[in-house]
Amino acid sequence: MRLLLVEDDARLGPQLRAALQSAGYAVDLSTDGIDAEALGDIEPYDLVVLDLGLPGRSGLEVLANWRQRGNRIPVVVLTARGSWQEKVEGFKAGADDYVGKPFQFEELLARIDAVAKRGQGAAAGPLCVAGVTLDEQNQSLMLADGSRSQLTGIEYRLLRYFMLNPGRVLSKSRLTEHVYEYDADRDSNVIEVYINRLRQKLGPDIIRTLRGQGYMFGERP
Amino acid sequence: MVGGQPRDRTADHRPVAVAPGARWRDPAGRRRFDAAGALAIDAARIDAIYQRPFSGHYYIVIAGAQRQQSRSLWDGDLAIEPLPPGQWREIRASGPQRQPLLLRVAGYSRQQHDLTIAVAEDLSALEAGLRRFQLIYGAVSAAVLAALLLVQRLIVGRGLAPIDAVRENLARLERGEASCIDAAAPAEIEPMIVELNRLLGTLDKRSRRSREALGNLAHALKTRLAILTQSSEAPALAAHPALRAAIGESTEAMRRIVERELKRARLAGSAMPGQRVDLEGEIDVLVRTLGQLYAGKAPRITSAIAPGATFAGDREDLLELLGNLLDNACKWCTARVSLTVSHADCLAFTVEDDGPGCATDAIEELTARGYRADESKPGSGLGLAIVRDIVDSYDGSLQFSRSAALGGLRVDVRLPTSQRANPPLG
Repeated sequence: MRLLLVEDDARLGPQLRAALQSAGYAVDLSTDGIDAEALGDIEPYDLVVLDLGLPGRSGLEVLANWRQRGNRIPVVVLTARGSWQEKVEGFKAGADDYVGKPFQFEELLARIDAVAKRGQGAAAGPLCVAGVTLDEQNQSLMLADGSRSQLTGIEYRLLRYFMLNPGRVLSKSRLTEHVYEYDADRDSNVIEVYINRLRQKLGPDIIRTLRGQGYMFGERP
Repeated sequence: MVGGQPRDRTADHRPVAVAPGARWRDPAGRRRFDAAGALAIDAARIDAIYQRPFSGHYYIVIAGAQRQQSRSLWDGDLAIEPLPPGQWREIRASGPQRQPLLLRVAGYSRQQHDLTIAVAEDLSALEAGLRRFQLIYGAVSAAVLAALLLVQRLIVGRGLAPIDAVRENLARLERGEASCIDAAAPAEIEPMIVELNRLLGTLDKRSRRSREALGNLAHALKTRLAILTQSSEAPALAAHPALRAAIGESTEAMRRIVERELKRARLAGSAMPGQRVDLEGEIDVLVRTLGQLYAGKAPRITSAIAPGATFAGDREDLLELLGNLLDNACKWCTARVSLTVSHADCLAFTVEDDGPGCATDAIEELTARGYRADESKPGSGLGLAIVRDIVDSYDGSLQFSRSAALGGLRVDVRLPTSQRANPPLG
């Protein structure tokens, strides 16, 4: 899953990006409101973590502009402005959740996870599709027979994206977009390598290749 | 005018021969003493009015032992004392048939005889006229007085009308329907109103500026704290759990201080006039916000607001108060939260949930600084303490009990409505 992190603090931004990346998200960091608004419109993010006090354009304005243009991207507001009035205004502008600073990273992660799953229409709680259970804490998977295998960072991102979109045809470029950061070296052929590695851990049939179209996880709904 | 009346009346009875104005002298002038010294009155020359019984005109002539009285006196009598010549006296007496009489008694000396002549005239006609005059005069005076009072009232009313408008404005200011006094006032109190408006503006500006400054301070501090928290979670510190815990503890303590103290400092309280909050709208938005914050749990939040309930205070304070109360209820509830707003002599908010409630002995400690009755749920434990601060700043009361309807915790907040009544003018 690919995240846009909008945070202007020069220390907190990179710190948070690193923490989110190690939690299995592809993260782009933006430090300014105008940039962030453009990125949110152009790139197919799965979720935005948005600070409100931003240079250039305030987070609330950015959010309101997205919503006005019909951009329904899930947004978790992360701000030090913690009064109820500000919370109410944040939700009014179209936020999906609101986390006050300072925060426990686990709490932020849980909130991001819940909002992302709601956005994808998945039920809250552990992901379980076609007999495969994804352990999001340990970034590992468990098969129906109880066997576990560990996943690398990209494998985990890829499998989670598949499992959040079961029965949907996902093109290679779409998978690339949702698994890699903006500035990553995106070679879509590498995706094939990762899919092969996943097939070794999942068994050959769960991810099907649809020639000329892309890949599909599980059965058509 | 008054004196003319009796004279006019006598003209009716007077024989043509008698000259006008001579009536008083009539009986005396037509009097002769005969040779024997007996008193004789020429009846032909006596006015007819003295002949008719109880006509109201009487005379009595006394000469030594002789006494003659007019026929009009009939069998009545008047108590007359003889007077020496040259003396006279005017008396009021009661005559026959209880007529009020004006009696003039005078002593004369004629043909070597001392005479006392008393002439009386009935005053009842005169007095009736007098009374009628007094009555009319009294009525006219009363009418004029009433008219004057009315005019005075109108003048006072007109004079005070601008002040009345100012008073009405002040009342609206207090109810929160206006933010300044815009009524035109007489020149005498205009400077006071200008000054009051200036003060209101300054107060508003200052409180907004201080809130902004506090907000910025909180923002800056909390961002730094977030960095500190994040840093303490860095993998490099995994080998030093004691260090990590120490940092965590300190940042948490600092966060609480920032949160509680800065929030308390931001409270506007009831001192700021000219504010009014749309209760229904704000509660609606707040309930929706909580619905989104607790989207995973999806508690059913119901609110009942008594029609006409208004909150004359700061919007931010209200949101903070209800936000924290509802947040606490949502955190602990199983599935239901209810908010009731009623107003009688005060504005009352009741928040109930169907959670586990709170043990009686812990209830009092609920609002202690940062106290958490149960450490099992995440939360700062600050919410209810902040609620306590807000309630105190509005001179209200806060009460915890067990909800009879839902079974969980019930929180009752009572905020006094404005007690400063406006006595009617004049």
